[in-house]
Amino acid sequence: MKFARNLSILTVIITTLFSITCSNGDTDTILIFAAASLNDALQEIKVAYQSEHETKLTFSFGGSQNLARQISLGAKADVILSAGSSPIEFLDSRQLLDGRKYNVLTNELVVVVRSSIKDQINTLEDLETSNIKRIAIADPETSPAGIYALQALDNMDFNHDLSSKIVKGENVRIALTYVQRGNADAGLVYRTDAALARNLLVLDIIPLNVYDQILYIAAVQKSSHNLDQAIGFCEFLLTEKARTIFDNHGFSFP
Amino acid sequence: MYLEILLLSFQVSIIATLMNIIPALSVGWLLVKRKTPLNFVLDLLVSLPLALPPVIIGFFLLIILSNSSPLGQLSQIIFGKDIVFTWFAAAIASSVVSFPLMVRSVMVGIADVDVRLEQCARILGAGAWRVFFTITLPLAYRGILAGLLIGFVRAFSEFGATVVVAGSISGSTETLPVAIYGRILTGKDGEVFELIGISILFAVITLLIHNWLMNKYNYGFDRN
Repeated sequence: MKFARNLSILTVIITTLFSITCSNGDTDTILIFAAASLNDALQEIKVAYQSEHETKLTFSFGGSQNLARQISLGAKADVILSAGSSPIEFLDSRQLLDGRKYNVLTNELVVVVRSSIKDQINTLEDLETSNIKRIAIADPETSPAGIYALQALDNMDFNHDLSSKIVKGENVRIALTYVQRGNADAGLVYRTDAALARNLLVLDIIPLNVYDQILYIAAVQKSSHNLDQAIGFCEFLLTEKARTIFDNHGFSFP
Repeated sequence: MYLEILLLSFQVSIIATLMNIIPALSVGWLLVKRKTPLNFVLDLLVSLPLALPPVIIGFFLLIILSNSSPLGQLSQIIFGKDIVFTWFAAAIASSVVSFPLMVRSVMVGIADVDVRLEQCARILGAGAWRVFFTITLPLAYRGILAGLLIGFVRAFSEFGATVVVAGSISGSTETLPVAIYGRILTGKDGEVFELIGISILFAVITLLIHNWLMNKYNYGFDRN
């Protein structure tokens, strides 16, 4: 009897849980897979977008490469907002995308150092000095930020090989925290992420011509059930209202 | 926002636990009561998820449940839905990883039931099913319940397999551990600590209930 009573209590709990979690039906929600570096800006975009539209936004943030791979494995994202074009090309080659692509944002690489060593770094070449023991970048395998950082370091013609100094974080935010916590002396990160770290010094010393343009591209998945809303959201990202928010977070526009 | 994460975690781990009840009872009973040469293999198979890194289980599940696999296509035909990267994939991952713990606790519960009581029932004419439901199950009740609870706790804290097979989609696969991981990645330490606080609170409550059940169980046994 006790067992039966407990079972009925359990049933009640479960049905309540289901009614709560399943009530936000799928038709009015679009799922956006977005680069980790867009996290803070997109939370504000979400508020702005939902104040004008019936459609609700849900996000999954991560390294763009990783997100593209999840989509190729069957994840049902409506929109992917990738840092860099290679994840988009990867999905395109598998014919998973609707034709349209939106060049939403651009970003730049900067060097961050702890303020205690600010006098020792004036140019990118100073990264070679023995004061800099570790340089944090994002892992090029999972995050485009790492590809751009490596590109910049490769094109700079240093006298010594810096590769023994490089430590890789899973994404650009992790690379940034390495520097913040003192686990690395300097880091190559996006300008927008560097702006979040108040205790770090941001050095604008990487020439723009040593790495490819950092472009954030939005695309719609072909199999999306909410194609119109997904396209609508991509177009919203290009509006003045959205750009004001992105601008506040330090992004530039193509 | 945390409420959504918590409710989802509960939904995933409760469904994972429910899916495990009948298999755990059957396998636990088999391992205790039927000593066959195959038990060795069965025991190994059941315990394997406990010994393997969960990320491996996640990878295998990703292959087995993917949209091009037979199971994935079956789900497409029957429910018109994918399995991978949904909350149900998270529930399956949690259930596989927590299964060995449940079986182990169920085995302890069943093994502690006095065999003579079961034999008496058989002698008095009860069939195997009747003995199981009227003698074994009620007497092993607290061991089984403790198994359910420890399985539920393990399912609740499951991360490695879940993040591989279900990803991290807010509101649909972002369970508590996945949410913490995502916030570590993006350097939101404040939110990480808040979620850790919630996790510790939950863990302490469930472990207290578990220990209370196990103690009660022991007292009950002494009185026999």
